[in-house]
Amino acid sequence: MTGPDKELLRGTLELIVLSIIARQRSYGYSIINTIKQQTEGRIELKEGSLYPVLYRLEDAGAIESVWHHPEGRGVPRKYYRITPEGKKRLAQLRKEWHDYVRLVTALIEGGSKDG
Amino acid sequence: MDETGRVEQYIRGVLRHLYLRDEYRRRVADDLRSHIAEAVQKKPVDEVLKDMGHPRKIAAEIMETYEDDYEKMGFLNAIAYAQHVRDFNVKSRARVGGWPLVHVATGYSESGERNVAKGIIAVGDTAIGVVAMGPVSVGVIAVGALAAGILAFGAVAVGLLAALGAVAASVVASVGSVAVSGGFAFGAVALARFYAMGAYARALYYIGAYGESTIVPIWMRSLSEGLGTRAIPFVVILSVLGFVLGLVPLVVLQLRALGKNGRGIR
Repeated sequence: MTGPDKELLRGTLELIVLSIIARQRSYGYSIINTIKQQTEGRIELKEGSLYPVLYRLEDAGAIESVWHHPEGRGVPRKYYRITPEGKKRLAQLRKEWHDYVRLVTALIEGGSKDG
Repeated sequence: MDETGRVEQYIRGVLRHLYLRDEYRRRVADDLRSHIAEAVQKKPVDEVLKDMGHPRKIAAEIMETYEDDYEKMGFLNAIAYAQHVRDFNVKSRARVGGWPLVHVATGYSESGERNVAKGIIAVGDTAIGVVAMGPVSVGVIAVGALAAGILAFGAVAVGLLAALGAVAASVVASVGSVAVSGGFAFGAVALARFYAMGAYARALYYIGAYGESTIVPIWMRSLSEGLGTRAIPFVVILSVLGFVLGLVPLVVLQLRALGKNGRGIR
């Protein structure tokens, strides 16, 4: 099975990333792994696709980042967490997504009935 | 090379293809460093870097998002990126009198039309602006291989007030290997309506290797005596200067595009 079309994925990345961060604070590597695991490997996000989304959300005030430097030899992580502004944005994106899915589904099913 | 060295080399590879302001380059470098450090807990560094793919591809994906955003790129990065991708069109959000403060445009648009840079500062294959730079440039100050403006500098420069170039033509003053002017021309070949100085000079008042007019203004005499035998090298230097100025938008920016070496952002 192949993953979704690149353009389709690009259009929904903000919603996907914001949803993951809304569930729990996350860092880049964990977001990539979460997407890979939850989609059973069908969506493999590359760093070059993820970072611009994170920066865009951060610049827009939807998420904020905090560096965590563990003591000893642990790996420094930049955690992202959602802001109140981000929660509003997420609610709006979710609504847009559900509306879009409903409309496209209606179009597809309407098309198959006619066909 | 040790593990840290390999990681830093990889990150430099990404930054080399990233035409963004330092703030964003730093963010990418930090995130990559953290990502790789996390990943090498589970597999060898070489495998991690291989899985991530060529640094150029990571940079290209990031640039795909930002290539319409002048504010994220900045002036020099926008120009360097234009040299890199060829078909490029980006404007600053800041505008003056309806024109973008900066417009960088090269190559062709998606619909196949030639991109023309039009801005207060315009840089492109064809540039029109207050300050215009490019192979073909038209502006108040125009710098380019073919430059036309009030002040024009170029291989071939046509200026209303002044022109400096290998071939320079203007209404008021021209300096070049071949200088033609309504007022003053200074060049190896200098042709003017009123004043001309050069190896071959022709004008109402002229001083040249082959003679001078019967009445020469004092300032021309002083200039000529001041320069003496250095007149010809002086002309050559000025001509070359004009020529080089004209090529600046091409050469310097090309070098910048090629020589971007991921300035050790940490």
